[in-house]
Amino acid sequence: MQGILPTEDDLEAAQAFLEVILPLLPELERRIPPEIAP
Amino acid sequence: MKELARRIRDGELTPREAVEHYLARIEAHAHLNAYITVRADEALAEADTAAQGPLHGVPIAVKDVIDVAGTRTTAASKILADNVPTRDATAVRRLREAGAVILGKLNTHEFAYGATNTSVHFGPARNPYDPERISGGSSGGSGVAAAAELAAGTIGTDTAGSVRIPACFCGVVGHRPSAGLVPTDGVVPTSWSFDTVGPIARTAADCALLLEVIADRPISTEPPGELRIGLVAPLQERADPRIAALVQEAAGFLGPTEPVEPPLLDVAGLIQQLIMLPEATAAHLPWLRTRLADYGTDVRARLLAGLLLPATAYPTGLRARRWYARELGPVLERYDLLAAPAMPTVAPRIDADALPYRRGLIPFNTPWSLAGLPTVSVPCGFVDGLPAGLALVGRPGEDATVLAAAQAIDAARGEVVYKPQPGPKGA
Repeated sequence: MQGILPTEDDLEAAQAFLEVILPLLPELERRIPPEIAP
Repeated sequence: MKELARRIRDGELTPREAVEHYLARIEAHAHLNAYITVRADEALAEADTAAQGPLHGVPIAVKDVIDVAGTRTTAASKILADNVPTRDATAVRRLREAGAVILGKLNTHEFAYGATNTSVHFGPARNPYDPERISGGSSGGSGVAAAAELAAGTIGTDTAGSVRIPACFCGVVGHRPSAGLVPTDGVVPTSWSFDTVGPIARTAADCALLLEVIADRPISTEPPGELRIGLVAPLQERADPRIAALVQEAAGFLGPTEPVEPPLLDVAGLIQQLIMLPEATAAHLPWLRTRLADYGTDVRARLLAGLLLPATAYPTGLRARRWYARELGPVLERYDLLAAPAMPTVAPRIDADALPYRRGLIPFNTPWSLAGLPTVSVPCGFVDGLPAGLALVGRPGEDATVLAAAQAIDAARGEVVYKPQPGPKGA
């Protein structure tokens, strides 16, 4: 499976992106006016 | 580029001689690593049969995510190292129909998914003003080739800044077209919602001509007269004060400026990430399943982040993008153009920590790509001997106004003349 499954380092690096994004999501969701559809 | 086209048209130079000229320059500047593939033999042969048109015999190079039939498209990746397309991308087909000769394929950040252009597989594209500094990316080879005259003009792609950033760092003009203006078929996708194909060249007039060809419609760049310019205050405040001063001065060439605070600048980067991360991951799914170890670490991390993002993030991003466009609309109505620093700093060193650079560039680029707005980066001066750029942002579809204004700045400032730097071996 080597080359297919992410390593610990890979997941840690991906998590670093998410640690910036995810905490900001609830506030963004709250601010979008309810009438706005995708 | 326009002057070269004229010389060929007037019989002062043959297309073959033009190709030979650039091939010699490419060889002399190999240390800049602008090209992944040089089509030397093919370009020489094609020069003899180039179509008649506005670019007859003019050597043009394209970023190596854009397909040229019979020449590999690597996207600076190991995964596509041997990928040879059988058809031209529409943009390339239009260049050929206008008479251009395709000189080669230019270095890029791996899969055009990053802004340093330091591919682990093909090496960094080096900044012509200081080869120890990045070119910016992801269309870094395009910026380098335009600046160091390794092609008469170049084509890049811009998803979240990838034309504007290298144009800024390399002291040339780069235009991100309005969403949908230039077809993206035959281009390795980064994020379907935001991908654009745009020109990088030494002057705004050259960019306008290239855009006219690849968009297949006239782009009038008549002098724009006095324009209403909104100078984006929050970005001026975040940029290096020396760059902010140059931006203010250059924007002033176009007409009176007024500070403006566009709404939702604080969340534009986040919104684009919510859409771009899952789209990029979706485009790469087959390779993520089978070739994960063949990505460079930074691109792999970004693609995995797209996989781990909650499913609800994508519709939130889509809703937020509509909200953002709605809120920005009145500001765009009030001004003919918005002006801001293209980048907050000059090009960092290749060996510098990339994280502060990556985070710093987002607020300067995503507010305009998120709304699909035409945006040009035009040189506005030098800081510490390195180029700085002014971003001019127009209303959707008003690419001509943006490029006419950039042309007016070229005329006011004079074309930036690149002075070759010595390479590692004095090249």
